[in-house]
Amino acid sequence: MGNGSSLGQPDYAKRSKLAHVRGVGSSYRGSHEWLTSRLQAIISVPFTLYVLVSLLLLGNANSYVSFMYWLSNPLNVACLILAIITLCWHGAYGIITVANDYVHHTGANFTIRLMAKIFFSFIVVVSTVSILLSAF
Amino acid sequence: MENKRPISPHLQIYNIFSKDMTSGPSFLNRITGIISAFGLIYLTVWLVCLAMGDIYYEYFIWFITSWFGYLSLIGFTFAFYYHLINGLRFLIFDLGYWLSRKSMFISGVWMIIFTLAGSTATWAFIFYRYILV
Repeated sequence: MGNGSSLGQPDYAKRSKLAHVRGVGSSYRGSHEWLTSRLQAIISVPFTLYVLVSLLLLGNANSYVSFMYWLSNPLNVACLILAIITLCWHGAYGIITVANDYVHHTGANFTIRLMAKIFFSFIVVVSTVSILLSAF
Repeated sequence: MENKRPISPHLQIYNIFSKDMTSGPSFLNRITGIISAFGLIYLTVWLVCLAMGDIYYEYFIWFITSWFGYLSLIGFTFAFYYHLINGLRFLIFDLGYWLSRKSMFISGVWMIIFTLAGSTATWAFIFYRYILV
């Protein structure tokens, strides 16, 4: 891109939008969101399955004492926290993708994307603090 | 402010009941993903009640063993199994395998069988191990 014309405008501002896109070319970042959501999904699977299976096999999982005993194992605590972080990350990304695909009103789209990020960040912090307070 | 720029056609151009089992399961994948996100709220409330002490934990157990609690947990289980298994199927599509129409149909049928069998087996296990005793 040049330094600009004599009118103080950059070269691409005087061209049509199509010519602009042709001149700029690919951003090479078009697949970033797609790839990120797949990697999040893959990385959340082992932690989630470990937590679910070990909780199901824990005798009397709905009792306070047995779940506190489960949380006395650092491996269980780490896997539970990692499962929550990866799932919330994947969830926020998913809600944002759905909003971008189906909510075309700019303000509503922005609000949903912002609320999804705030909401899932809140859930991650609250549940992690609760786990650590219970475990230690 | 309505965005007037043209967008690619989506919902209206798909045959969701096609034997390829691609677009219909894809919509359902998004719906079950959003339902599973509500499951994360239950998980957070459970952990907060745990940190607040055994009295509050009992309140949560009371809620989760009510008819509404069981109904939502069974719904989360079906949604989670569906999202997991169909997500793995779509990952295999993304890697470039099973893309013939026959493979798409066969993998779609097996996806539904595994979803129903997995969630039914999970709740049968919970029933005989924890509820019946």
